[in-house]
Amino acid sequence: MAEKMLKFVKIGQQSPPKRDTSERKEDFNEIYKEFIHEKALQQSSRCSQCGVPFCQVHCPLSNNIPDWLKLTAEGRLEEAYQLSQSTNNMPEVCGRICPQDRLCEGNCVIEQSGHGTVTIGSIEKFITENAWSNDWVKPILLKKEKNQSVGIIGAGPAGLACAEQLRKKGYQITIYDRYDRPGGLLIYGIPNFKLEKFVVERRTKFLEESEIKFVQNYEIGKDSSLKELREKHDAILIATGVYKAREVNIPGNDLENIFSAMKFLTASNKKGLGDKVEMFDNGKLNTEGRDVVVIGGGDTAMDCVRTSVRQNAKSVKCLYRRDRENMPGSAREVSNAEEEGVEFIWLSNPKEFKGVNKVENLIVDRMKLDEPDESGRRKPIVKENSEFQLKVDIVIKALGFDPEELPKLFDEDKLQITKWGTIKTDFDTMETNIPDVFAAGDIIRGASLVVWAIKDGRDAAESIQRYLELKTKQTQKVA
Amino acid sequence: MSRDIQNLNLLKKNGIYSESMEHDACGVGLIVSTEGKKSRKVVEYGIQALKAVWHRGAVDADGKTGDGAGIHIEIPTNFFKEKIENYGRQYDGGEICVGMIFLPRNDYNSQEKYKTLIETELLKNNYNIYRWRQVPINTSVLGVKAELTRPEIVQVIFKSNDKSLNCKSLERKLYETRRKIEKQTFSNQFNGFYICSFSSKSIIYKGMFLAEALSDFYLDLQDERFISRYAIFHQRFSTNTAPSWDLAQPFRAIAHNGEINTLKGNINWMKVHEEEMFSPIFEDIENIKPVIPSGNSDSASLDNVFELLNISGKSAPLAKLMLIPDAWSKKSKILPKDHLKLFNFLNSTMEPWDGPAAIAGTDNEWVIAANDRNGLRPLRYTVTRDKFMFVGSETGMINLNEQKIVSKGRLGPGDIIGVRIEKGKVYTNNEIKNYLAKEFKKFNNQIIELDKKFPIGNEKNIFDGTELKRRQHAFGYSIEDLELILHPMAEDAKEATGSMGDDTPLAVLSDKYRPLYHFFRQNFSQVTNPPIDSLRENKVMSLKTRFGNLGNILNFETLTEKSIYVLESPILSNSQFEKFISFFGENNQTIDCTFSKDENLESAITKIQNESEIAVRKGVTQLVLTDKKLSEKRCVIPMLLCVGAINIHLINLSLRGYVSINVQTGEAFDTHSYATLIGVGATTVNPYLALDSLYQRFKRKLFQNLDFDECIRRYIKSVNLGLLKIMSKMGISVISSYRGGCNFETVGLSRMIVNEFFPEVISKISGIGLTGIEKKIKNIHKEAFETSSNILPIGGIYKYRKNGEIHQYQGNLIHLLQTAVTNNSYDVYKKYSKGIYDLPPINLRDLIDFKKQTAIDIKEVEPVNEILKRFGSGSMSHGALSKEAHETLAIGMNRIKGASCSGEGGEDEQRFKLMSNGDSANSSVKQIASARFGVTINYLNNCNEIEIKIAQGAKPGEGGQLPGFKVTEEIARLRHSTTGVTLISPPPHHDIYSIEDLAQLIYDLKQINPNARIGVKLVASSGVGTIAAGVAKAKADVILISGHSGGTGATPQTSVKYVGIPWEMGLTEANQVLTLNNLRHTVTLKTDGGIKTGRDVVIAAMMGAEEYGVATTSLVAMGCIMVRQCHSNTCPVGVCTQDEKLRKKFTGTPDKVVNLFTFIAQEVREILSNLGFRTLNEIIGRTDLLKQVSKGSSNLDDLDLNPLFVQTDPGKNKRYCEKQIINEVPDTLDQKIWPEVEKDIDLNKKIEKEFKIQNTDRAVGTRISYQLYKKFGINKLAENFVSLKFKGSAGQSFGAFGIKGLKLILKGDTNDYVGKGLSGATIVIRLQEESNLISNQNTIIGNTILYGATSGYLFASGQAGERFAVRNSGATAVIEGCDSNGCEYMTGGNVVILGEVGDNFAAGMTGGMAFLYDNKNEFEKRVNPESVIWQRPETEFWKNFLKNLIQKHFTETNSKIAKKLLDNFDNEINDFYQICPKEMLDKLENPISTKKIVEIAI
Repeated sequence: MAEKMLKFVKIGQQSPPKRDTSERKEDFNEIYKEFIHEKALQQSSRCSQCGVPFCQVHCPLSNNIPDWLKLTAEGRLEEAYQLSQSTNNMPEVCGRICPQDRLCEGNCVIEQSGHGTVTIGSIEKFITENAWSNDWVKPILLKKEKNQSVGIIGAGPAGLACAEQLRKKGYQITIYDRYDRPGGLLIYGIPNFKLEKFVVERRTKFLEESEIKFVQNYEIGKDSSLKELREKHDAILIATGVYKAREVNIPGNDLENIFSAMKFLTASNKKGLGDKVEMFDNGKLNTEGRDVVVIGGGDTAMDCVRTSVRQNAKSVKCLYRRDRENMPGSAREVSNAEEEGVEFIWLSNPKEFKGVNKVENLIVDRMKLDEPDESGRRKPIVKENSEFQLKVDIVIKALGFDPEELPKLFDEDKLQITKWGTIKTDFDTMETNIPDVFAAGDIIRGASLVVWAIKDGRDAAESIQRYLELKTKQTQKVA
Repeated sequence: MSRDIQNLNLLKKNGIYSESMEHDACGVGLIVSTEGKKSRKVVEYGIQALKAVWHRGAVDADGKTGDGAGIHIEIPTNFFKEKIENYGRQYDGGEICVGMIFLPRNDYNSQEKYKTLIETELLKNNYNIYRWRQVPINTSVLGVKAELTRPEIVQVIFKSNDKSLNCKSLERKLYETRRKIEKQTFSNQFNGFYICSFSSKSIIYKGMFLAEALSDFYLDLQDERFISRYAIFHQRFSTNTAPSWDLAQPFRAIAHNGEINTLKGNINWMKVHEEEMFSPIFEDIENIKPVIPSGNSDSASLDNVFELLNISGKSAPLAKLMLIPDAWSKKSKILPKDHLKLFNFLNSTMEPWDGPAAIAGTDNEWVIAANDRNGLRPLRYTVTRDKFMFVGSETGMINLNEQKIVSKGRLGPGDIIGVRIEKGKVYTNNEIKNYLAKEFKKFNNQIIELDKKFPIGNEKNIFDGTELKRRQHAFGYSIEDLELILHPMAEDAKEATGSMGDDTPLAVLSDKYRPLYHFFRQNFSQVTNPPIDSLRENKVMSLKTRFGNLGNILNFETLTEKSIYVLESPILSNSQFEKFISFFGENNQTIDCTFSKDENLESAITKIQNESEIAVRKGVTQLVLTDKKLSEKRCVIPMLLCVGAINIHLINLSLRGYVSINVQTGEAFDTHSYATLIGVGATTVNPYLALDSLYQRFKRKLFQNLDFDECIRRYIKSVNLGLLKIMSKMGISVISSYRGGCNFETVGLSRMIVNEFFPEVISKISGIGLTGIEKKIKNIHKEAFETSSNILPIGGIYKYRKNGEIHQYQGNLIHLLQTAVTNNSYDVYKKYSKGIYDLPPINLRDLIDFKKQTAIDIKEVEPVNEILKRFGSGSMSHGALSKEAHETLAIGMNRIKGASCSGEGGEDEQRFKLMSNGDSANSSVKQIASARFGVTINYLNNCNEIEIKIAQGAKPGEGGQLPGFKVTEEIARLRHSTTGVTLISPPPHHDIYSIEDLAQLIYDLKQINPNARIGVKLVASSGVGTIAAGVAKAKADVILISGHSGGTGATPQTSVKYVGIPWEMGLTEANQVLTLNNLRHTVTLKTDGGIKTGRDVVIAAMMGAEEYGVATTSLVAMGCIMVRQCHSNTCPVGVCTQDEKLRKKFTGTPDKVVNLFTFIAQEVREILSNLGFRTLNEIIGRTDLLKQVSKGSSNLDDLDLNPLFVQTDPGKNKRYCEKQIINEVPDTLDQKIWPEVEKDIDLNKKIEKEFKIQNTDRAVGTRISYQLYKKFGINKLAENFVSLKFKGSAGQSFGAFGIKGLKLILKGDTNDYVGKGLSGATIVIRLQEESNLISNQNTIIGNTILYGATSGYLFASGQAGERFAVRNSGATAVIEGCDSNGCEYMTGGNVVILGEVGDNFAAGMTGGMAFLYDNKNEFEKRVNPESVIWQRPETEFWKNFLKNLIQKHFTETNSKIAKKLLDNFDNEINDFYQICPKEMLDKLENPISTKKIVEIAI
């Protein structure tokens, strides 16, 4: 049944039901159930069809949200899907893992005015899942392939988005990735309960069917140099992401059982995919029955605490140096974690790891918030004489990621980087200082959201296309 | 004076002012002997009548220069005989011919040249000249301006030597001779020469004096030998003050009070008619071409054609029916069949000259007076026992003995009344039409109705899939267009509604692809003529489209040799189009309107022009312009350009009349696109791509149960409704006159394109040319054919989309502004302001900057408080806004001593009092709009300014509708209506059909509140300058020029986009023309429409405004986030909604409002200090401080903004209005009455007084009501506390806004607007004792009675004119008959009518109750059934109610008919109908039926 819009005045907000905590703690599956068809239509009809759609304004991809909400409400699901996918290469992923409460939904006009946001994320997910199950997602079929080729380093969201966009335009695409599976953070970084892996695998399969070549377990700088790659392709995109975990430099840092978030999450995800993981199987990375402390307040920290819960940790605590209002992670994730039994210790900062060989205790300072700094956030400072001690078996550091040293890694010292280690690119064209080489995603902007990576990938695709078209013209002229 | 002329030339040179923009309106009338006897009395009556219409004219500042007056009478043979003989010439008894001629006074050489020219021509044509005579005049009655421009006035007296000529052929020859003379003077560019009359029958005396000075100026007229059988007189009120003697009326055939809305179309079609014009009665037909000399005024042009028709043998009544036909449709129930046939035939001869018109004219056989199809100008007549008939704009212009009067009546819509002077007989409207109908019976068979041959059905699509999508893309369609605009047209059969203003760039400023029709802006009418309500007054509207050859209008026999084809609508479905093509077979030729990618646009256009020409010369009658051949290789030429180019090409070659231009295009899909195509000359349009797009949606099952044929029918219906709406906006009711009329103006289209292809379109700001357009077409074509995406562009014209068109209200800017006002942070405001400035150009002012000046210390600049006083917050009503938002805004504005406006929704009287904390929520400006909601004496006296809203930036020329669901209990109370019942705002003010009407309303308002400034809100358009001048002459104190980007609570989506122009253009023009006319310093000039920052304010000041409105932005400051759903009542932030739950979400505060305006004022100060000025006054009108800058893309450099910077010299006067002045108007009779009343006032004693009254005593009772209000307040006085008796004919607005406690009893009759805004008073109008008239057969009161009355009583023993009780919301009235549109838009009160009513009764009536005595069984044909039901009175309650009112009527008026009804009430009740609005049925306290409501409702 088609719905008319602007129903927020009559229909209350409803998200797809979350599974019960006791149930969801037992497995790694996603915690939200699917919207049923009617519900999705009804919830879409709550949209106010604003003159200035702040949801779209605050969407990195500028998704035409009000428009596909209207199409959904009217039951025009195929059109909704077509419109949605026209600005987003993996809407089913964004629908699941975007921090909507900080982006579209958080800025939704009816949310701002106290009516409760339109549940944009879950509708986006619904639209795309519905499209997959109706077989509306068709591999790219080219009438004519261009003879130019592009090599993409990194099979994360930026690389994949760029690959798809360029493939649509007819270019030959090869993706080089150092892991055994494509997907980057999507496959190994984000836990199943947020993003089940079949979703990612379905996407990469779709790209393979679109005749994009994936070369896995391939490291630039080792298996080939960047220069060699450049000779093979007409353009290169670096989309490696940032993987170097940020350290916490306090005494006791070298004790055992202190892990980086990435290591912990990858192990868990690989297990979920049925792989053998030695570190996990030998119990080192398995938190079952242990007291876990996660340090950090971002989305990665949330992933870690919630993974620990699912591994049946004895206790899970999260330390964060600011308070709830000032944390960078999604508020929704925090409340999900709390529901699942995670204890948050706000305004706390590790001071010292203690233990013999492996970590046993954690000394923690209480913090307080000072005046806002230039970024507008209030700076945490140590509260004198407030320290306390936590018993701990495993510590997971989720303090963020920095770029690896790419010039070194790629053996290409000409590649310019910024003082933060990210690749220096032209703001408009995303070109690096090396001819034919572009960069996108976290490796240029630092650790960020998947949705920004997709946006970068799309922008890079446009820029590369322009670049290649110009190249063609110039060679034609010469010839 | 030289300054004035320099100013005039400056404005003319820059295309800012031209005579064609001038408007006039007038008093008009005639006196005729009904027995055909010449007498001195006729002439004297004529002179006397002119003295009684002075108030309908305007006076210049010198007190003597009028806008013109004159009289048309027969040639007094004896008088001229003496003049001939005195001169020593022999008079031989033949017809004396007299030419009344204006010559340039101070140029003797020219005078000689003209005289020689005339003499030569006369001698050549076998005339004998008796003499030249200098007409004796008394120049002392002239004003300075009139004297300065006075021509040398001479008469040439001569005779024809050809004795064989009878009087008709002599007149014809004189006509041809005159045209020959005129042609030579035009071609030699002579100036100051004008022939008033040139005839053997009649003579015209006219000039630029006040009407009453006619006979003082022309001494001839005092001569007793001046006798005549008729006198036609005219007094003019013009919007301009550039005086021109030749514009005075009467003209040779008619005197015209009105406005020809279709003038441009008519002139174009007249050129087309000339192609085939032939008649053996002229020596050479070329002598009389062009029929309409260029540069003629609308009245003069109409006169040219009228005269030609008369001369060629068509009687004056026939000419009237050809040019100003009745509204008719085959569906009409009230028109006799033979009249219908007559109209149908005449419809195929000429295009109507449409617009309000009262004419008085003669062909020397007939003397007629007549009204337009809509009855938009008053005409009252009186026939006397001593064989005279008087017709005029007012009753009572001549004092007549009541006993002598045989009948008194008025001319309704389309009516004619006439005297055949030779026969000495009066012909009524019916008699005239019967007579003509007999004559033209046989001509009906040639008319073939194509709709019957191929109705809509079996519709198929042409394109689908990718092919469809590429075409959509190439034509610029977006998803938004399909979803928001196209779909609702088919689903709901009407346009979708939207809200808020337009904040997207003008088409020329946009860097997106914008179809060519986006550059065209619809014309609309304001002040000088009314827009029409195309919904409620649908009967006057017609889309009838005629094909085929336009024949010879001079000879009907040849005209009808061939068949004439007609269609009911110009829009053809795919199937109709196919059948159309095969129907015309070989007579078709298809013109391919695409061009190859490597061709250029200019040569492509030349090519199709040539193809068309060849086709027509081959004999093709139907051109078919198609862009269907669009392909990957071929781009489309914008269809609008094709039609314009071919139309004008064929007109220039005199070929247009042989062919129809049919269009098959993908370009048309919204109503505006059709209007532009037809407006530039298309005959029919087949919008194949829009229809195919609908098919695609139909296939997707988006139309529920509709079959495809029905979708198409609905879509076409909505296009038709849209066309009617667009035409009615400028007062045009027939599409045949709209077609080719180019009733548009363009902003930013190159002058070359406009001149070459759309020469009648106004274009003040030149911009993009053919090369630019070509580039845009090729770009989008490439996009369309090269993209791999299967998704169309998203759109974003109506609602912001990040990848779509740019909007000025951006998300981040809204955030910034709201943060700034919430935290009182000027720094954040500055970020907002900079953000606005940094956007790509959206408004013209974005391409304008200040010239650099030497800065001064900001301390020297006037303080913020001084600047704040100049700000207003727009005019949004409570009803559009929530109570909270409306009051918050008012409190905020009162705190800064700025102005908030009530809007048109009335205002809660509680708000008139101060609040306990010293705040006030009282709006300092009270608006009076077309619906007059809650306009009471109390409302009007609680303000310091009254704003008459003529038009609104978002939708000028359109009315509105507040749907029932928004009419809460509260809104209903304020608007004097019923909860839950729909409220309609009519498009026009029904008491402002002309400039003199506006003057009257201003006069009325100055009577009811002498302390308030009276403002008039206009919308920017080219020509607004002359209108502003007229408004200033009508004594307004404030003129507000609103830009097109102003907001609205609800309007059809396309209206917001394509009507009105930027305030920058309107404001500068108004300022320039007001200065030109030495009026600028007498009015305060205000502007609004998208003002957002201090910079905007300073630019507006330099362009001439001294006060500034900031509306939408002040809503944003109060929390509005541009959801643009005001019309849905779902505003999520509680600003624009009546939903109580949503209103709780409102977060605005007065502080936020104060902060906003303080920031703007502060920014103004900073700019002033940077520019080195201390006060805003110093920069007002200083366009020399502005310059055009280059910003944005390079194609914008073609834009020429210079017309905005032209500066007129104000001489000694200031460039601004020095203080808030209140312009004075003449006293009324009340000023004499009040002292008499006041001295006797004693609350315990009722007061009774008696006075004489005449038609020049206007608004009697109004100032007294004000005095009583001041003394006692409202609702304090007992009923009839002051009773005033009058005898005579009362002037307009008798008893307007009359207060409770006042009773006015008039013996005699009245003019228009009795009881306007009645606020509790009782008005009684009855026959004089000595009168012999039968009350229910004669007219006693005029048009538009009880307009917007809120309470009180009216008893009138006689008939009323048009629109009786229009928008009445509470008064009770008993009358004895009325003309068309009775009880229109009524929302409350009770009306009893004891006699016949005219057509379209109860249109849009949503409240109140009416009773009608209908013993002739006519009522059911005349009622408009849309919103009411009717039945015989059933319940005792209502029977008693009715009886009581009739009883009261009898007591007050001694009415014979009332007596008769009462005497036999139980029987007579069966001849009554009770009329009740459908929506009221379930809301009545006393139901009208004992049966169940449901049954009645069905």
